[in-house]
Amino acid sequence: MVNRSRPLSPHLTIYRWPITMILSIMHRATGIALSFGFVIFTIWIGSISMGSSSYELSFLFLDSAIGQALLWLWSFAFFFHLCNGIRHLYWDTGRGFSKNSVECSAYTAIIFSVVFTITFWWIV
Amino acid sequence: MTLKSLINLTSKGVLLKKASGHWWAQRITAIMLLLFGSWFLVSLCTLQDLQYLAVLHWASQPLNSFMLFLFSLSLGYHSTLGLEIITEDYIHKPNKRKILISLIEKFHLILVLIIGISLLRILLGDAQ
Repeated sequence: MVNRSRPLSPHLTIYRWPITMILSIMHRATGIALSFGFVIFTIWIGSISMGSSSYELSFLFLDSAIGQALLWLWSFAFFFHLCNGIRHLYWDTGRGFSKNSVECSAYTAIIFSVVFTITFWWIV
Repeated sequence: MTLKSLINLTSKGVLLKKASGHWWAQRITAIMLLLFGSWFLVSLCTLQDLQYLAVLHWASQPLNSFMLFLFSLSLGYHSTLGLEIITEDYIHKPNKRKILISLIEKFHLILVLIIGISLLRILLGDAQ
């Protein structure tokens, strides 16, 4: 029998969420969101090849309120995953692991992804 | 997997080779996406209203077509690797995990094939 009263290792819900943890979760979440975006991207490219009436159909969807909301989300997901991805690539060189550095790069990644998203929609 | 078989695999370099291959592929496709993804968004900015003829004209330029294909290839590969890692982390039943990973791979392969065929059709002027 398993002894149920044995102490468990602390679960996620115990901790006060540090910024680094939030970013780690967001990196995966935005990655999954972008994978779904890849499906829409494929449909969009496919619709170009199938002629103007198919293209209008995919355009109508992307131009709708839901489509626009999704595009906003995807653009933010893209920029976030990009900025945080650069952070990961920097870590891969073995640098930037001090507590200070890790938090500083976290806030930098967030600020840049927000700025990029707003700039992108301002231009487009 | 027993410890002995793990050590066996490790000493033969099979496991290490697979793991480090995955690691490198993820990084290389990440850097490719950094370039192609940025290129794609900048291109979208230049195609302002996304009207059909403008988009068709843009996508039928050989260089753009080539870039779109490289973008899709690296995106599909990177997405497969990422979703595989997440599957390995959260799906604990070996059978279920195996099936899910093979589905992810096949699904991405189909998406990239659809994009490849579509780009070819656009390039050859079959789209109207």
